[in-house]
Amino acid sequence: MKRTIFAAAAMAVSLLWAGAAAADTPQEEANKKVAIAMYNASLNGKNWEETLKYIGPTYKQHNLGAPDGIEGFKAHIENLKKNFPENHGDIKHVMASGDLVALHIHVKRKPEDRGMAIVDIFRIKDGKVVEHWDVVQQIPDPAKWQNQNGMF
Amino acid sequence: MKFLKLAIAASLAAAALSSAGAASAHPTAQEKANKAAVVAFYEASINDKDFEKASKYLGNRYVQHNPTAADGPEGLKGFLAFLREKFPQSKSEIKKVFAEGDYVILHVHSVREPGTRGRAIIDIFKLEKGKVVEHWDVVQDIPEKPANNNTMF
Repeated sequence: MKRTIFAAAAMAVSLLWAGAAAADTPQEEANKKVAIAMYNASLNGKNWEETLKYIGPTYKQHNLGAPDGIEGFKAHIENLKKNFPENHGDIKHVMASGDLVALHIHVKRKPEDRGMAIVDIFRIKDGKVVEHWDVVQQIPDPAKWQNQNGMF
Repeated sequence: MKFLKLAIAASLAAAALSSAGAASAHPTAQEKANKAAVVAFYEASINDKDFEKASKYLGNRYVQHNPTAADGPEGLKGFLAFLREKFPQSKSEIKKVFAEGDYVILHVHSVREPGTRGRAIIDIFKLEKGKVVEHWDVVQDIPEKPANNNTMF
């Protein structure tokens, strides 16, 4: 009887974890939280002090519109704060694999804009964002869309 | 009561072991298979521009979120015909591939005409039972005057 309960419990748990194996590792789950918190603090909150909590000692920038490094990112946030204080990104998909996290985002510089579709990829090291790539596209006029599925 | 305690202890031990196993098993076999399927699909379609070959990797639908392409497998077929006719030398180089669950992400450098700077593209594909069923992307021209030297990839 004792053995049966033991075996049943062990089996139930291993089944549960087999299911979990199809999702994120604890590290990927943690990395997602860091990327989302960093995005919200910076691009949405435009709060540099808050953003710094999630940035590593270096920040390699692959967005070619921004100077490299932490200072380049800071300048971008300050520019947004000054020129587009209502800038907001609505995170539509979050995907993580290993040390990378991808965010698929609908960004509007102003609330009335049609906006942009952006995928940001962040590399996370020791719980901090250390590298950033993105691709940015203006959402075309819906009158010209060839399908009605939306970009997200 | 003792049974219960024992069972709980055993559960925790099993969980710790399986969890460690799960971590080392990433990417999962399914994610690896999905990545291979997407790379093969991408080469057959965007590079070889061969719809017949590409369609082997398609599922029972192809939901298209690129607003410039018509929906469904027929839309892809039309797009590949367009590439063959207008940009027969177009070439896309996959720079990064990663997967989470049913999703595969490609970071691609696409050059439609040799000698041009080209575009950075991130494609997201959703798979079901190992087949591609949905596609999103974002496309950006690589700027002429970069503010840093890290490249877009």
